[in-house]
Amino acid sequence: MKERMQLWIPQTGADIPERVSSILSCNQHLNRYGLSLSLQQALILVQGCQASIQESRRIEFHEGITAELIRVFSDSPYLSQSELMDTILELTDLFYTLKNDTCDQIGDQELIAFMKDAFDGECHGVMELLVQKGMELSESVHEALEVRM
Amino acid sequence: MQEIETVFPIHEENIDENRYFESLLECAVDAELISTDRFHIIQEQLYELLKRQWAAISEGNSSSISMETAQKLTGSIVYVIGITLKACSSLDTAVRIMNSTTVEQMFDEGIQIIEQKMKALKRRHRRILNRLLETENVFYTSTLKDGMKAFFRLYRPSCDALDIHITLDYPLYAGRPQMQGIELVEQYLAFAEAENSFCTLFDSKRIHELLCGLSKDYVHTPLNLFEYVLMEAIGLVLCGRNPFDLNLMESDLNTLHDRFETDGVHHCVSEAIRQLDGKGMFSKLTRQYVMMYQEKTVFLIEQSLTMHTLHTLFLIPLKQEPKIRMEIQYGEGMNYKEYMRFLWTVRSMNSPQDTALYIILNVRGINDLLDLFTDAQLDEEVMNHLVPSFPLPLFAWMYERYGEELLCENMTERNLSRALQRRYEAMTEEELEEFERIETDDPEYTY
Repeated sequence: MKERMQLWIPQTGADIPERVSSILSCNQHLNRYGLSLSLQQALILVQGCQASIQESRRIEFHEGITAELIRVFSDSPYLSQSELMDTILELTDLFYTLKNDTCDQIGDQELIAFMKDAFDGECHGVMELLVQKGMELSESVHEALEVRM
Repeated sequence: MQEIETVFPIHEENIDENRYFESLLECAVDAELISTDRFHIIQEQLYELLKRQWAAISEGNSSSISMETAQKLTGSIVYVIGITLKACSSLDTAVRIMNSTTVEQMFDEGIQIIEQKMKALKRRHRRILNRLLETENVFYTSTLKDGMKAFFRLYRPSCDALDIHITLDYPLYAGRPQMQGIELVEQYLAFAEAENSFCTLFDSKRIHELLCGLSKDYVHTPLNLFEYVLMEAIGLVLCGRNPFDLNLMESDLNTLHDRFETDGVHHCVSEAIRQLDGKGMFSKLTRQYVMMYQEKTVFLIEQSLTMHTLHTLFLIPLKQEPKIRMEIQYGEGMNYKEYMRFLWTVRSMNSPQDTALYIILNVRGINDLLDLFTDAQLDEEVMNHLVPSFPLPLFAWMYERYGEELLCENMTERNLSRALQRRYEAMTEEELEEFERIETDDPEYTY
């Protein structure tokens, strides 16, 4: 039997140079707090974002959420230069996981704001606690969805 | 000069109705009617449309989409485009449109067609509701009334054209149409209208009695009503009787059996359908429907002949006895003279049915009844006719006192006890619930 044609191909949204420059433009924000990202780190962040999107089985239509996460989290007292890249990678990964776990019921900006509040507040910059808070959020969204059904 | 005949290289039978756009596109690319470049443009436009649709659904709040949702949305988009292409006068035109129109335009056109279909569907639904068969079958009413209303309320072709939100539980004679989205509902409702317009030609009470002949549980069973009504009508015309009566008898089944064996089922069904049509019993839609599924009708009859289950297809209706309820007054009963005359009449009656009816119509108070049980020797058959007429509170009161046969003192009381027991066992769940609620010591029910 003839193989079916792939009618739509998941594309990766904006191309890599565009994404890298978008991340590097975040240095304007980061510099205010004594932080910065190198070109190599920006590349790693772009690749990490793509990996997170693939792992969470999502399609990104725009440049990816990393730049927006950096902009919002740049004033966090819990960010340090030495762990900056790893923290952003973890935040990106958590973001896409939570998008799935909350069944797309929460918009990007709202979710980032939630993560930022929890990270700076109750979690005191501890990623494991932020993951825990994310799970609680997902549960409450599921409960609300069940009630609606 | 000889004309050059051009043969279009794509054939309708190679197109999958449920994947119309995709399969037509595949065939068109294979036949080189659509170039690979054009195919890639279509892919890109589809991606852009997916992006647009997701932005509309998420109100621009989400820059990414889960693969699962993307597949669902794409399925909906290609379905809508398929609707546009199906509306084309020929496959040739459809391919030309795919070559010259953007995916977005084809989608928007499809949404407009669906909106028109929705309007036509609403008109059809209103027509059905105006003459909806009165039946206790919950699936019939819940699907054709409430289910369809829910469909009109919830169906959103621009978000998910495949999700009709309802289950269409009532089974049609034709079975569930093998379609999706609005086309499924369109086909379902057209068939339902054909069935409903035929069934409404008959007295709904007769249809009820007919189906009770199958099982009283038909009310809560997802079974097709049209099948039994059509079969009964076919059976009756073949027996030379009035199809509107819906009342085949045991002897008719023998006649039918012989006719099917002698003339062949196919011939008999064709003949019956012709006769029913001659009596003006089919609307245009119903006629088409009956003709389309004539082979199924033949098959069902042949199968029942082989399995000796003709009686499960051609039903013998279960007539409902009119319920006569005894009227008991809570004051005094008859005076001595009246009672003696009443007793003498009861004793002199021969038929148990008449005896019971006479008692039901003449007894005034509970004391009359108790005296009668002592003075007249009423056999079990009289009791079997009498006890069903007791209003539920009286029945509960009697059951409390005479329900236990071992405690009865004489033959009449034992006969009464058995009749009470029989009625108790035959009670429906609703009656039982009501029965349980009756406090037999309640002054209201103290006779």
